[in-house]
Amino acid sequence: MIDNLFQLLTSSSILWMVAGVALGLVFGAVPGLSATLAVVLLIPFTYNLSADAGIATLIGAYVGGISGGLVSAIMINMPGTPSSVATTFDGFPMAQQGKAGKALGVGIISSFIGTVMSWIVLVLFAPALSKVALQFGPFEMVGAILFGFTAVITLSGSSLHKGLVSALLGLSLCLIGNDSLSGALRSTFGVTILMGGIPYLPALIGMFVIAEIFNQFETIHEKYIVPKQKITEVYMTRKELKESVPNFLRSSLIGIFIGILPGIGGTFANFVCYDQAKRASKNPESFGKGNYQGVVASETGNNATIGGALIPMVAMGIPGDMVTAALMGGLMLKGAAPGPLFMREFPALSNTIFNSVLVASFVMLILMLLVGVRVFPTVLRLPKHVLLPAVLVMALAGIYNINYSISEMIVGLIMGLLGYALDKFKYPKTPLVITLILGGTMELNLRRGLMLSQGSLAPMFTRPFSIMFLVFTALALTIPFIQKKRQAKKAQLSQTNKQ
Amino acid sequence: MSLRKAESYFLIFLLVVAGVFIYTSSITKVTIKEPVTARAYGLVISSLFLLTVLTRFISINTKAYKEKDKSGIFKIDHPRIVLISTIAMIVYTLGIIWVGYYVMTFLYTFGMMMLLREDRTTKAWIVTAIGCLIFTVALYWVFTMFNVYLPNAWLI
Repeated sequence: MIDNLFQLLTSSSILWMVAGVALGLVFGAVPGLSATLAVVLLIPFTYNLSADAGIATLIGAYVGGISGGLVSAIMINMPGTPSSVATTFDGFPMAQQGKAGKALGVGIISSFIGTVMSWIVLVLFAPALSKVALQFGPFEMVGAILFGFTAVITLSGSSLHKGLVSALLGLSLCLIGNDSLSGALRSTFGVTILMGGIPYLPALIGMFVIAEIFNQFETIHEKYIVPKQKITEVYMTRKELKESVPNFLRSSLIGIFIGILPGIGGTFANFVCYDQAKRASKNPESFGKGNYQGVVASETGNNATIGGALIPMVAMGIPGDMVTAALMGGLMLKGAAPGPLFMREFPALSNTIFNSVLVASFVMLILMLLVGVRVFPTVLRLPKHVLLPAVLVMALAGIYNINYSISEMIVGLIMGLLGYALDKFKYPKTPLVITLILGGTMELNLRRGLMLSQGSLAPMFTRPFSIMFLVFTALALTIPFIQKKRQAKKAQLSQTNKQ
Repeated sequence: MSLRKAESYFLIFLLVVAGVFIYTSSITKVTIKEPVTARAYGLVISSLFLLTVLTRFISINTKAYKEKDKSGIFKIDHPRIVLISTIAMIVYTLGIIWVGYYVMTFLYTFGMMMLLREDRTTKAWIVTAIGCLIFTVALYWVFTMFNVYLPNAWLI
């Protein structure tokens, strides 16, 4: 493995990887374009490269794409990639307070740490963790998703009722389309373009990018989105790093685990990590107002899914998300089909994948700290009348290129209008997005599980992983209430003592 | 209009949406025998949605809530710009499909930039037109280099 690393660093592969990371960062930083798109577009460019150089380029684009999303999330409140949505919650308030440099620095370091942590787990535990993931049946998936849904409570803001309306709207939108189990059409209203359902990526771009464009139109009298400021204090202090250690560890583990589960991915991970960081914080009310720990959680979590998603791909030949599916396509072009015997049959290529994740994370760190923090904020600080139309143009091109579908562009636009309405009435959008991402998977697994158990919910309470998630869910639901009661009791006690 | 009242109208809209989901779920054809069918699941979720929206609607329209309500006034700043931008976005999206991505991009960016600009001098018109042309050409170059697919339309 060390020989392979040396070879990677001394051959032309490193140059291709730098180009891949740079392209990924640009795609990540532009709202609407994504890591998936960067990888997919680069595949034809790797035809003429060696297998090592090709895979290094694609993984570079993957790492860069996931990491680049933080820049626009912080600078203009529009996540560059869906996996950076939670970064906007605290990153943008920090930029508004004149701490854009700090927010960017925290995001970059956290992205780096998340990737490296996932690399360690990828190298050490890939085969073992894949076996664990394979034991996940429908009921375990339902349990994991139910646990994820508890984030709705924390991310509902001041009104849980509004959060529930938003979450159930998301679940209802998942009803639209072709039922994946029986093939029946449901809630399509006879419209052909709705047969495929509401695709969550265009919906997310609509909810967070197009809706934000509308919000910015309302403040068009302010020339810029964030006030003019110098990008300083980019590096995290020793104290900040020390304070963030539990958050780094927690968010990395959550991100890796979510990355392993097929079909869930980085978008969900950044919400769950943010939610857990807020729950664990001694100062949860500061989240959403510019607490750098929110940026740490989101960016560590989404980058940790990189190694996580590669684990089932390398060990079992199962893609964890859309990007790894594209990566598998790239590997197949080189005659190396990932599968259970991949690590044994292609040891050199496996090592290249492992090492590429590590090297790409360092390349990303260097490029972002030396170039990215200077160039991207300057570009994103264009006057609103220039930036907003340009962002919409790129966002719609990005939506179209997800599936080359015109109907998805229309979905993005409609969801943008819905997102704007939710903003106007102060309804949280995050619960809707969480349920929209996972609603379909939950329904499929719940119904499939019930079919297998002939209608019995008993396996949900008897299978070890499933019951573990149910306990987590119960704890996540009850702990905040217990904490609230305790705090009220404490406040009452201190008041009586004063009297 | 108060924000509470505006929210009530929004909730009425959501109630209609929930009703439509209940109806469309109820007419879903069941093709295979299973414990929870697509129809049953749809009915449960859409009914829960309807119930949640309804309770919210009732709760914000109680006398006690109205008396305590401090949500403020519902307003849209720069409504003219928001309305024109919405129409422009829809026209742009449809234009991409029928006219062509690059032609529409030039027209849309130029139109929007001029709408959002404070100064509309002759110099501003010329500078914006040149800027939009450079932006469109740059996009064409980048998208062609990376084989970014765009809808087939009448023009480019």
